[in-house]
Amino acid sequence: MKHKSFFWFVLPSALAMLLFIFFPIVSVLVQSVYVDHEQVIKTVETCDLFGCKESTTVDQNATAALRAEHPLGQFAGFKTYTDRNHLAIDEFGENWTRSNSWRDFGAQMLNLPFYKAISFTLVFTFVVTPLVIVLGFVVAVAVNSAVKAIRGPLIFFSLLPMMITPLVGALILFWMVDARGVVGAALQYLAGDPDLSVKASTPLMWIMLMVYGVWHSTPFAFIVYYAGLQSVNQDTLEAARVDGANRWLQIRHVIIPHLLPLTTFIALMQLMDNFRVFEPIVSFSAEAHATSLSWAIFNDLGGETRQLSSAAATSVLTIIGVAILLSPVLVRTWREFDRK
Amino acid sequence: MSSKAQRQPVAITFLVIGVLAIWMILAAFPFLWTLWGSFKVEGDFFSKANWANALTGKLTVR
Repeated sequence: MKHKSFFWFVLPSALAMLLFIFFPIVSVLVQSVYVDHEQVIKTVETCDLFGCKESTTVDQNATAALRAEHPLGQFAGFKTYTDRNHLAIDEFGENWTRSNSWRDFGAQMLNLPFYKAISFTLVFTFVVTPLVIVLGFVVAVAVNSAVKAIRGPLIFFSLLPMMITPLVGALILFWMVDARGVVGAALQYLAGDPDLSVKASTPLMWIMLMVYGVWHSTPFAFIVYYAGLQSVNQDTLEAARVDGANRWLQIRHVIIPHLLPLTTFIALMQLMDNFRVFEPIVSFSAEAHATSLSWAIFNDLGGETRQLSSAAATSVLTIIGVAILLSPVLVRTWREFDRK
Repeated sequence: MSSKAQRQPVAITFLVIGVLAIWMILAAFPFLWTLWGSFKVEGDFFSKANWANALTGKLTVR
């Protein structure tokens, strides 16, 4: 392709990426190093029959004028990043010197909002992603092995968890695990504990959120793998059969290598998706047990006092987290591409 | 028509059926349960006395 043709071909995409990805990220980066202006306080002297008294009050006009003059706020550098709600550098040091053991240190760190959120986010990501890949592959192979007449309904029902809005899907599961719901009652029966409540237990709530994550995302892996299975070279499979390979060996040596690029794709998508886990936490009302980085951003932006700088700092940390998570897969893909 | 060599062993057929049955229950049951619940009053669907009221619909039929 000529350079000029390539330029005009790429220009719309490049402009869209600049407008919708690059500029918002720059805006968030800038916002994260500024904080709101403090209110201007003035001292007022009030005199009455008993004498004069001095009192302090907020100078609304001066505060409004200051905010109008510098709408971005005041420059704070990395102060927001290091405060208690984010990296908590001071608290990290204090906990390190104060704690007697790793366990104690970990427990104290998990009381800090950012570390509480990142711990659940990482556990969720690293538990849900491999489970989704394995389960999606198993379901795809099973559906592909079924007789053709029932494959259509099987695909339809397999895609159901992905079809509905995540918030609604999570809400359905939330009703089911309620102490009066079908799953909640079954768990109470199995555990022999009539007071067992998923909502009251942090470990059970974490497990439930991960079960939801796997349930919701497996159809995505399934449909990608199922599409990949349609392009498996039948001659290679036939040759493997002639060589005496059983079903497992065919899967191990023909199908899995064929689907490897799709596994990389699913892993990338799932790592990104799971790292910004949000909907199940809201639907399950699980904030007391589990928070995530996305939930922290939502929490900062909600309510009457919108903490834009805090939300921006958490967003930047989330972007850095996603970049770190994806880097091994991206480097590996780049090396393979380079080798070819 | 598949040849004898291409036909899969009975054990694999049962495994495939088992996997599909479990997955179908996992994928579709929450929706069927919600659909069932849409025909029941809240007192039955979230019955404190007995969860089986969600099936029998004691208050719903009243």
